[in-house]
Amino acid sequence: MNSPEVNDRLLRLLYLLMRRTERGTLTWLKGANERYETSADTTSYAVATHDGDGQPPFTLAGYNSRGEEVLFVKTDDVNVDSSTEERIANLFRFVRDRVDNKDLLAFLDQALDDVDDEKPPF
Amino acid sequence: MAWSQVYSVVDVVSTSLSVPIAIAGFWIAISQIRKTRAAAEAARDTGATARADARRAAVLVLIPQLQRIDEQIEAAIEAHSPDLLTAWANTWRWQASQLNQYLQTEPLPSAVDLPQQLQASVLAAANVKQGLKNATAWTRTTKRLSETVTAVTNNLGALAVQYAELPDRSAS
Repeated sequence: MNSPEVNDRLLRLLYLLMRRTERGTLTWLKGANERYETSADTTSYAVATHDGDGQPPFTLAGYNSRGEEVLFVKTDDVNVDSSTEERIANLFRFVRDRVDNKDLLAFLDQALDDVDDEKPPF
Repeated sequence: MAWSQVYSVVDVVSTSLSVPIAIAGFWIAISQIRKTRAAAEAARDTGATARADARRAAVLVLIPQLQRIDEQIEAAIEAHSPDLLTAWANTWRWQASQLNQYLQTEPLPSAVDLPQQLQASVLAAANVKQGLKNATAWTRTTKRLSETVTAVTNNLGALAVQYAELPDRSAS
């Protein structure tokens, strides 16, 4: 991004999307071609791979309360700095891992809790 | 009586009266300001109440409309009609977006998940036109729309009850 003001907000947005995803307060849904979507109260977001192959470049799209796309960032755009590129890539990989392995992760969490013989009694 | 004495008397009278007159004027000004402020506050409260009532009425109208649009979306999916589905998805998008804006203004504790569900349905509805360009995407596109719309409509009944039970502010 060329504008420092836009860039600062974008980095903050990516940080918050990652944080809420880690906390499990954002539900991501898988769409076609390696695209993952989520919605907050009045905005929505989609992370995807541009070519649908799971490989860079990655994209981040943002939608307003009417579902109109108002933000689109592609990581190999010349205006995108390395921090933004890295955060979008990390978010995409993290979301994909969470969504694609949702059932397995849930099972492993249950298994770890079940098998652990050193856990406190309450 | 000499003119100098007249001037002197007038001077004494005007000097002694100026302070009480100034105080009286000041008091009148203060009381007028108070009255004006009270009237402005009353008008503001009346306006806020009217807006809140209009908002509540709009929500209570939107809820059955969204339920009806949900039925039409399901019918369009059943009929496998891309044109109908696109039209009803667009209608859903605008109405759901409007309801979400009302909920942002007056959030209800028990409808805490509804804004997120509404927003997800708006995005799914916005994606319909694009999704249906691909002939193989019908099932995926309609499934996403149907799921997100149903998630909203499942909560609309409870929302209608809550809105209907909100205290009547116009009576107070």
